[in-house]
Amino acid sequence: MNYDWLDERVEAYVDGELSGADLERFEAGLTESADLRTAVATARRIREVMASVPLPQCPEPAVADVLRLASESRRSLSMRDRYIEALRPRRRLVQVFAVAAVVAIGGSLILRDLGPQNEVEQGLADVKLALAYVGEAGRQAGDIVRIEVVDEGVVRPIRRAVSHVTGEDVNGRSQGAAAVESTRDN
Amino acid sequence: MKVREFERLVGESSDRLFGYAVHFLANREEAQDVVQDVYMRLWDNRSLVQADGAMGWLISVTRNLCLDRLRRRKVRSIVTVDSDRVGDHATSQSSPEDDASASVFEALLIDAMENLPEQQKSIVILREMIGMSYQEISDALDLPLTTVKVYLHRGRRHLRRQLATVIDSEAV
Repeated sequence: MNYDWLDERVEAYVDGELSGADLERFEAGLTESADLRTAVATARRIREVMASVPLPQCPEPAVADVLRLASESRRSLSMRDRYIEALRPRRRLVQVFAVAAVVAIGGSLILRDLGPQNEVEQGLADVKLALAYVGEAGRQAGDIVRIEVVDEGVVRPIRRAVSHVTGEDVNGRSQGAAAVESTRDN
Repeated sequence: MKVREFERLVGESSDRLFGYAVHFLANREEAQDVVQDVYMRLWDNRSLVQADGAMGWLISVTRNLCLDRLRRRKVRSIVTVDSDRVGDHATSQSSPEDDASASVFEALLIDAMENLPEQQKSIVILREMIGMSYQEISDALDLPLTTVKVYLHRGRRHLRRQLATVIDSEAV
């Protein structure tokens, strides 16, 4: 009996990962060796104890402190910083629009007919194209500012303040009704 | 990462991070400081950390901060059994003798874990106590999956050999 071979496979046996000839050889070793039986019992006990130790709960004040500090940090951001932060995820989109506009205008300048009438028409077309790109970029930026800066930074705090004063939640229900509904949902 | 994502992440991960830090440092106060520090770093780096992969980032930073604290300790801490935890562990169905035996075994187990090499200790805690998958551990510690499995195997074997004498003496 090769005890080292058996000892190396105690963890796999306890995890149910042995099969076939290896499993038969290991179980034969179990009948012969008291040390191996002790090894298996110890491995099982360790798993039981570790699994039964409850995960310590993070103290509530520690989490509350973190959220408060983050909230204060956010409030200290200027309107410009908030705008930049809101635009950051869309920065690549704006960059793509800018590059596309430059390529379109530059390409049309290179390829256009140089006759006077065509030059005027081409110029007008270039202006329209550029305005279309600028307009689309502006619309995207406007949506971002409206949703992520104005709604979140201005409208929601005002609604919360109003609901705090009137005793109604943001949907116009009384706090009592909202609490009853919340309890029912739970 | 937006404010709401940050708040959600804190709610979902605080117990796991705290549990990891408590087992790593064997000290609740230090673990609490570490967890707060981790979240402030996450807040400062929220534009760089994606919410989807944040758990790995959080575990990685927690581990680094725990290691910093261990390095700062001039002497190894004496592991004490957390009386609150032992109280939670005891059940009304078990006898006082069983509870005492379980407490002793748990204390010896925690003591044995202190002697594990750092990476094995991290992996054993994350797998056995926090319940993370091999893949999550691999991502968090930036180790190949096979290395995670090998270290876990070695860590378990080390603990088993350390504690075999306890089981032997109980059997007598």
